[in-house]
Amino acid sequence: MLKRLPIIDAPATGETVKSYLQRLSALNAVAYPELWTWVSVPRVPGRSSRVVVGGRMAELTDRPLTDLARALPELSAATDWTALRDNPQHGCPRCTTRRLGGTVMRLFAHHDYVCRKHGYWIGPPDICQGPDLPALARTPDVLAAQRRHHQLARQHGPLAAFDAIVHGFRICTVVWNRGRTEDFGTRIWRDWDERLDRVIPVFGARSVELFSHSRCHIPIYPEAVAVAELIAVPAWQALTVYPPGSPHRQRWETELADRLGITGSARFSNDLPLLSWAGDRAAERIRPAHTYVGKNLNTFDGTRAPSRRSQRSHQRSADFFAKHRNAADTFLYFDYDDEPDDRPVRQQGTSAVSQARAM
Amino acid sequence: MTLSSSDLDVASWLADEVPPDNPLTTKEGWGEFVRHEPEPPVLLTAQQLLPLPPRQRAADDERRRDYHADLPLVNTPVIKRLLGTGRLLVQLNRKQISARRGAILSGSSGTGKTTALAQLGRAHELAIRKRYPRDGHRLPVLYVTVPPAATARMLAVEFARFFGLEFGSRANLTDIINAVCHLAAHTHVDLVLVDEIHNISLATRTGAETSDQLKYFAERIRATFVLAGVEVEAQGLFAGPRGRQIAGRFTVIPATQFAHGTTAQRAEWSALVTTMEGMLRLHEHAPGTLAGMAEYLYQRSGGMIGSLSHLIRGAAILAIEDGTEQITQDLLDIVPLDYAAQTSYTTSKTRAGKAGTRAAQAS
Repeated sequence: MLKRLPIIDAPATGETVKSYLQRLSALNAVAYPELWTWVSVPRVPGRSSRVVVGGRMAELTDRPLTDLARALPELSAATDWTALRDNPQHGCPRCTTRRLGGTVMRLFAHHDYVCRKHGYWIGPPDICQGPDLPALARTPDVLAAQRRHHQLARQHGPLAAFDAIVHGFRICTVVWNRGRTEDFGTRIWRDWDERLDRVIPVFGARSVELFSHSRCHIPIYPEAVAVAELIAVPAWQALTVYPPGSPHRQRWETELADRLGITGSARFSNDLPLLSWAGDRAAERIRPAHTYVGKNLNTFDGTRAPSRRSQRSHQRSADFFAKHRNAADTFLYFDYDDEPDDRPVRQQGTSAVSQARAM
Repeated sequence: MTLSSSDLDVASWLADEVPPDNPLTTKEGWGEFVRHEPEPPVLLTAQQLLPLPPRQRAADDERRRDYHADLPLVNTPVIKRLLGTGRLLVQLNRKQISARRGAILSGSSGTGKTTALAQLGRAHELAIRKRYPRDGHRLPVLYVTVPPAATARMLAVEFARFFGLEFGSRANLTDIINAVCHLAAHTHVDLVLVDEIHNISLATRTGAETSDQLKYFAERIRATFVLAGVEVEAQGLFAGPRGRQIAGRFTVIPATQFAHGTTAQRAEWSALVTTMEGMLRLHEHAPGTLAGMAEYLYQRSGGMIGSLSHLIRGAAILAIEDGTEQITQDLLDIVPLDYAAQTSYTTSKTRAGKAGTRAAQAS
């Protein structure tokens, strides 16, 4: 039977077991691996991979197991892992300011992008994301978007909200990436560029330091949520199954165009394949590729460090971004292979990029 | 001293029921000892006892037996001296960066060293808890016992065990020491009690390393160290360069048995017996009975406070069990004592018998 540690702190909601143990280890000057072996058993006898034992955690922290399970998802049998992200992230610094022993790493739901209480961007998990989260004081529309996003998740479920927001980000990314060279009938990408300049300063070294794919989602988040509403809501989604050009489909595409600020004749998919492409893709269902437990199954303590490949890739993206300031082009999370490759007829040959792509 | 609720206003874990296997050398066991205060049961009168059903009478007897088994402590001269010295040392060492002074309680077994040490710790902890009632992470006292054939690592593990850290065999000694020192600093330990230091022998290499380890802790932990052991001077604790350093930093407080030679010593012994008698809760026991048997009690116990306490508590329990509700010499004769006290009593009886025979022959 384990004895209670002399210095104890409460776990944060959604905190990972590793994060909690690391904080306890810092408070009590016991090495984390030693503490981990106290509260865990081998998953398979003789193997190095270990799994936490809730009862031992309860003895070590002198807290009821039910209380720990409420805070730590890994201790609760009722945790829906598909609703949580597969990587832990730094929590809002003000939400966790009273937690002792170091920073808190939490598992957020897929629809948690902003701390609405304190106005910090949490965003999707990112390599090299540190504890300094960007404050959103200068982008109030991002805060408002999170409220709508939460509403979406409450009304339609976390997986439907995940599916919808991924679609939303994809569509916005295409507009952002190609809007400056092609005429999509909207200048919204300029607003996005301005928002981006507020969260990642323009100057070279600092922009490399502050670059993260997570931050690059900030500018397009409000519009992505607006688009997500068109996909998550069943009544709107039902319109996407109709063929392009049909009145129902056109109604959906018109609404999409409104939300993206597309005006004039470009609102009609005949002139803007983007809308048609968006409508086609909206019918696809996207699910999280991994869960936190599935991804870390055979590790020593249920966690895995970022691979060197992904770290190198991140550095390349940061350098590219510092040079070109094209955030949309650096997104790695989403698969852009299925971008619309039809160009509006009048746009062909108007830019070097589209010429190169046409070759 | 009666504990008020503010004394107990500490982290909730201290007030929780202590699981088994929590001796004084764990923070849980120590916490239980600190907050334990035996309350004397109310002695019911004959009129109050009469209407009680047998079950309630049995429960009352059980309560009184438990109380007598755990009779409140009497402040002996050793305890008083240790409390005074300890309190002064803690004050003096508070701002010292290094070369803090300590105390060593030394004497033969049964003279109340462990009891005195524990009482010093308890008094200090209660005082600190009264001063900082809301600090749930504070552990003012650290109590360890040096295990037999102790090595430096075993000693460090004992310190860690007090904090509840159960390091495996593969844990590095440096990590254990660092953890202990870190926790001692962050839990504001200011009194370290080390019992059974006679288990450290400076004559052996292992013992010398263990002594060095203890000294290292004394340097790193900003606390007053009070040690206790059996006849440590005779064990060679102050011999050699290490011993000289110890001798230069530690005050020795001798723990001896009570003497019964001079008038003052007899008065002191009698006062001790009277104080213990005053704590008894027996229906038929007349006050002053034990004081009248002071000489007999001294001979039986050999002047050892531990043996005296055992004798009186044992006799009280027997008096409740057999229904006589009073302590007599016959009852005291039945109580078995430790070998040392028994031998001492037998020798003194034989001497008294021989002296009586010689006196009779002479007349």
